[in-house]
Amino acid sequence: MPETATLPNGFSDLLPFVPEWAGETAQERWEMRERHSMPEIRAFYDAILARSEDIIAHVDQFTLTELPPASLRLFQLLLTLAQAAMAVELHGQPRAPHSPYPHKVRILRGAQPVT
Amino acid sequence: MNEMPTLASICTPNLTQRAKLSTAPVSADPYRSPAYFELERENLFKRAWLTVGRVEQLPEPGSFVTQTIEIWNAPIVITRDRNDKIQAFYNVCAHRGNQVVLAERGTASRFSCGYHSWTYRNDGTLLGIPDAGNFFDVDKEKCGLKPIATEVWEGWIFINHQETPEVSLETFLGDFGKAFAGMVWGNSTKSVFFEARLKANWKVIADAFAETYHIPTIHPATIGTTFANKINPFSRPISGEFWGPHRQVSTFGNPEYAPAENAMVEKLAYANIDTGNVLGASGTAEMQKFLEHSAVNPTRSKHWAVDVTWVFPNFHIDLSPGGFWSHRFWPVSVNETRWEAEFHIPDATDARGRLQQELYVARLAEILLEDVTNTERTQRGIESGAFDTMQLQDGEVMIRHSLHHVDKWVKAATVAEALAAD
Repeated sequence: MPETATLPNGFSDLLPFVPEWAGETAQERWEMRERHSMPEIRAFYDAILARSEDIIAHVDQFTLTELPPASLRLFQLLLTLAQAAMAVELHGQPRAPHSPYPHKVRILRGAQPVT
Repeated sequence: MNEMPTLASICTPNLTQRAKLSTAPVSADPYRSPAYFELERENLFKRAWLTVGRVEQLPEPGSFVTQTIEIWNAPIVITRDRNDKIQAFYNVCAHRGNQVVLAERGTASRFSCGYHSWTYRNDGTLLGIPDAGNFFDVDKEKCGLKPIATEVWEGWIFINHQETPEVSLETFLGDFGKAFAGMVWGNSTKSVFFEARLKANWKVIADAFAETYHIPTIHPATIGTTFANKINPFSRPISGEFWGPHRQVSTFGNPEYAPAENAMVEKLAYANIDTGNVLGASGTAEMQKFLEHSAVNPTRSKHWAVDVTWVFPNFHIDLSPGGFWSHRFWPVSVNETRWEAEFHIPDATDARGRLQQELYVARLAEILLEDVTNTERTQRGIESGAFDTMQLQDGEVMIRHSLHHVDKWVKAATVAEALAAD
């Protein structure tokens, strides 16, 4: 069991998003966006985008490979924002038009560090 | 005042005729005939050199990877031994056939079969048989892991099903191999890896990544505006190169591309760079050397986006301003394929750089999903029997070139005959 999900000081307003949006892998973050409705994606997108520069400044206090657990969780929220942007900024809907869901494409390895 | 360039000044016409190919419709049978698929298995995939990835996936002596070559019905293991020799073997115990190595990858100097503990060194030598005295004159020399013909070209590992391949890898790659000699494969130690098993013939999937005519239609939101513009609305290729059975087209990029007004996350991720380079690595000396290679953007076009290079039969290498990626299309049955795509990117060093990569991966995932799920619909249509031939336009020349050479191999009695000039 991981420690109780916390976020660094100053980011506790984002805690409600952690269970559904702090994905540990690129595949998980993709699935998170795919399974949510547009209003849910929009709410997450708006909340994280508003704090994005703060999150970047916080994370850059550390080396990416040595993020403390709460900071890693916060950064994972920011990484899932990239997924939310696909729905909000590209498709205007949760998933690509004419693509099946569920589907069989898998991201077996994501970018690094912070998988 | 800038003059608007014309399409004719950007895109080379008549690529099909230049490649000395017919312009007639092509047969649909190679995509749906089980008999044709069996000929491909025996005469193409069991005679051609096939890529299984790069040497960097075996970083040190003792490194190994396993995989299944479905079209051979063969589990294989590839090792780097203590002499740095890279060699593929059948991952089959000489005793009763179990797979000796079960891990997907790792480091080990020896492998022990999980059935009766027969033990092999990573160079294939059989080291030990438990209770050997109870066997009957076993010749240990003949009971090593069976090697598979393996050669390395520019860091790419190739294997061949023939015990003694009819032609060397160098001969097989021919002028293509020479054109790509000395290529700088940047960031090749790390990759973002996609995989899917799709209900479509391997050529349907390879074809999907071989032309840009589809881009404005299938990818209107993801990359439609990066590969087409008013001058080139249907994304015609800039040029084409053909080397024996291997081929390349250079695709068109829209130099005016800019993030859409509402693309807030894209702007956030790219706030600290002023190039359109999604991989964020073009500033390096290594990347400069890559871009200067004569096989990258071979016509030095300022409208260049990507060189889609199709190494015969089932391997694509794509060269772009941000580096390279590759696809491998592994046939499973006439209408089933395992597809692998591997994108090489550097490790991010800060939060914004890492977000930029995540955005790149997210967009890739959307594009690839649009591409490959489209292939299953295409396969259903081809199998329906609604038509017997397909119309191909000039920008789809690589598909025609592929079908031509697949057919040559399928029908040729020898590899030399398959590789002979038309």
